[in-house]
Amino acid sequence: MKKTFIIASAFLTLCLTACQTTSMNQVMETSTSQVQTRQIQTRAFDTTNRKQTLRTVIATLQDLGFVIDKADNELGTVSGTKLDGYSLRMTVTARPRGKKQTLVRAIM
Amino acid sequence: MRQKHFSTLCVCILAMLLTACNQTIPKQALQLSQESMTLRQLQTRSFNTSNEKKLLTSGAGVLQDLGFNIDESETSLGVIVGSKDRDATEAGQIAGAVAMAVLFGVYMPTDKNQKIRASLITRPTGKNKTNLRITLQRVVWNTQGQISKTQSIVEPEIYQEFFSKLSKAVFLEANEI
Repeated sequence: MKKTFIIASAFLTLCLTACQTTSMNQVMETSTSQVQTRQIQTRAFDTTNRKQTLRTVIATLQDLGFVIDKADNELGTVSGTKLDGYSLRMTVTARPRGKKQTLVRAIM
Repeated sequence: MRQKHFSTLCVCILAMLLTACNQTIPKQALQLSQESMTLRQLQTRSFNTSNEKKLLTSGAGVLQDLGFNIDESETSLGVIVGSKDRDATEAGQIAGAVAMAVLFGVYMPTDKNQKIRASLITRPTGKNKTNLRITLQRVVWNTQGQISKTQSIVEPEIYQEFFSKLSKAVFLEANEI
């Protein structure tokens, strides 16, 4: 019985290590490199009309069932939340790249 | 012997459950559903005006008529966000909870408060045409302060009522009443 208990608790400890030990680590924690993160989250569009891009972003978020939380034309950001038994928050930014493109970055 | 195995199994299952720390968001969360087109039609009305600002002001007015507070606005993008805190008590739920308490002596938390959020977006779609789309959602807390519901509001009647109020407001403001 004792042996079983030791094995079981060892297994438990092993499983628990998958969880974080110090939650403070999360402040600066990233799972991918900075460049990689940006690559995954960003797409370029062939337009210079940033305002129109932001309006399209808002319309798309609404199509996906989001309610907009914040929008800022100066900064080029839009945030929204989707509630459907879960809560999903997303921020999209649009900024110009070069003279012909607009970069759109979505973060969840 | 059998008991030993059983206890080991129990502890292992518990451990496995604990490792699933994070709440998961379904993979299809960002896929357009079949209802999304219907929802868009339900939530959108087109107005014969090129005056986006005026339409936005009317929309804000209706939100305020309905008791919403304006949380955020960006007129250059045609965005207004509002919310209101309301009671969420439902008679049916209370009756159920009372029945449970009487029959089984179990306390069942019931819905208590809710926060209703609205985002109202205007968008010029052509010459003399502006679209207005409103999306609504709510979060409900129970008597123990836990979140019991997080949902988008998709009831057609609610949107129909909003737009009938909006038409009225647009009319009143156009005629300066």
